[in-house]
Amino acid sequence: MISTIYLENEVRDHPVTKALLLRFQNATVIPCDRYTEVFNRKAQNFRLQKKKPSLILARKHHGFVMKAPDSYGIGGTQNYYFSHMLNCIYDCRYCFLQGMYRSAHYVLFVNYEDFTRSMETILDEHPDDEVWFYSGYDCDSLAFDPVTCFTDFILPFFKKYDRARLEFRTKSTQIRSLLKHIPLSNCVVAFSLSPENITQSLEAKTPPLINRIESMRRLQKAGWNVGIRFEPLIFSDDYKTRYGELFSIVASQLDMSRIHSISVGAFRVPKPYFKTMVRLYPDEKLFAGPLEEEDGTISYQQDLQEEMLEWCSQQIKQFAPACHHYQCRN
Amino acid sequence: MLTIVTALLCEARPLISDFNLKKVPESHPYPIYRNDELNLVISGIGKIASASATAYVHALNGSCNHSAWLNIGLAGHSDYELETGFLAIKIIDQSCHQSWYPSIIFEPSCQTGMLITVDQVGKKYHPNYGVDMEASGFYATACRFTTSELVQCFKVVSDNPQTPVRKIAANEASKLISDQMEHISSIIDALGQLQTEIDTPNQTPPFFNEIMALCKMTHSEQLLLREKLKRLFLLNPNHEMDFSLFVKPHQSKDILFVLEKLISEQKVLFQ
Ligand code: SF4
Repeated sequence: MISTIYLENEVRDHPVTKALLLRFQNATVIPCDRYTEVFNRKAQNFRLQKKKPSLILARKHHGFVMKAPDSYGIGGTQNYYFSHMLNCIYDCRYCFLQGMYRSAHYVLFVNYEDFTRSMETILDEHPDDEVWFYSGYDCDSLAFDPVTCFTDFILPFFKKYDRARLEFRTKSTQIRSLLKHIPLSNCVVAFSLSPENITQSLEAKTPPLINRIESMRRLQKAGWNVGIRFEPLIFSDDYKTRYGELFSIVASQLDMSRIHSISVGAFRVPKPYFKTMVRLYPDEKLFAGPLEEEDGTISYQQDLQEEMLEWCSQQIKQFAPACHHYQCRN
Repeated sequence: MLTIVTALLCEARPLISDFNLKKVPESHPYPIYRNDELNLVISGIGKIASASATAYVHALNGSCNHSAWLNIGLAGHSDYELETGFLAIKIIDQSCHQSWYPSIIFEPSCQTGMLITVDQVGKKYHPNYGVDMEASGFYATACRFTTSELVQCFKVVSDNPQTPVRKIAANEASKLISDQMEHISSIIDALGQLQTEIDTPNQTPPFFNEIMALCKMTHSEQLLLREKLKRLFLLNPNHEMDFSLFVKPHQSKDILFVLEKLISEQKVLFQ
């Protein structure tokens, strides 16, 4: 699956690197000084690279954990996000990563220890608060976990800090590592779900809806907090039917009384990213839909967006009345 | 269109004959050969010559967003056997210490390897690296004109520590290249496929010309017209245009307004 690895000289001897090189013994390893020599340089085509992405092993030097925007989060007051990886093995057509990066290679920052060190500092800065750390901003949190083994590293940290909260955001079914660990009450595994036709049309390479739900069931059964993210909501003329079907499947397959939280979120992309996305996929129907620009962001037309968010929220209140439910507009 | 850049005529000869390339009759600073799909330019030796010839052909052909470029030539190598053909996965310019990393998005039929471009060929080999005189100049220049995945360097090992640098006869150089034609053809095919994948020729959307004939439009209005027609037919490829909707006397703003309304009336459905 990975045939080329670009390796920053600086992380050659890092234990995570060594484990990965052992795993991909047949890969061609190309040394480099900084990952930016390879990643995101000018004259790169995300769409072409997505056909055969390489793995880049690098050290992150700063900005390990970032303050999340005010609108972000599921109720906590202190919200932070982090990305131990850039890019994703899936290929969702609505994904902002394809507009943000020129490269589709996967960058893995192997110095995981610096992420937790940074989290410790942040926890010290907020001694009386719960602090949320969101994973999965620049990648899917779990999709590449069998390779990165990041959960094996991060979970013991959260076991130590009860006040720290962790959200994994995923569309994947890679839960084997989680199932090996004792469930943590301060960790949520949040699955992004879309109607099956949207998954098939716009979420290339992701597991089918039914497999994601099966993974959620298994995690619930094992005692993990499971969240649901209906994000981004994708408009179609039959969206009520499609999302209605999705909600019935979810309600019938999962123990709703034990769902940690549900959120619905609008499709929103910064305009420059959107322009790149259209350039990459000029024949994508999604981009021809009822979208508009407001303050440099492309989203569904205001009325339509409100209507979808409200309708979905109402439905969710009916099938999961007791569940924490959030609307994300940004 | 794909352009092959070689340093010498003897390297180009087997390509000219295999691809049935014809010399461009007009006079140019570099010999240029061509068929319907390929250009070949003979740059002369060295990275500056290679960069200049690359830029010259680009200027000559006019801008084409997704042109493909292939540098073919001979190289020394510290480890590879003589006559080994390889695609460069890293190119270092020895004098400026800059590096480039060609992305090979296809499964190459040949080996891959790292390459150092030098200004003067010496007797020294660099462990794990090939040595040539053109790749850095060619690569850096070609990447200004197209996306880097469509720019590749293919080298054939002409010397190694066991058979060090020597004067190579023209027919020997030609043979080294001609023995690699299978690999070269497969690289050209692969680059062609990648080009097709991202080439969205600036196709004129349906009814663009008919609507343009109705009234004068500024350049930005023409762009909007193109964009709206494209969206309309993406949402409904079978849309039948009713020209009576465009009321007379035809005004560009009214036409664009009608088109936006038509777009909003289309159903958005995902299968
Ligand atoms: S799973 Fe998430 S990160 Fe991955 S491509 Fe889809 S939207 Fe992007």
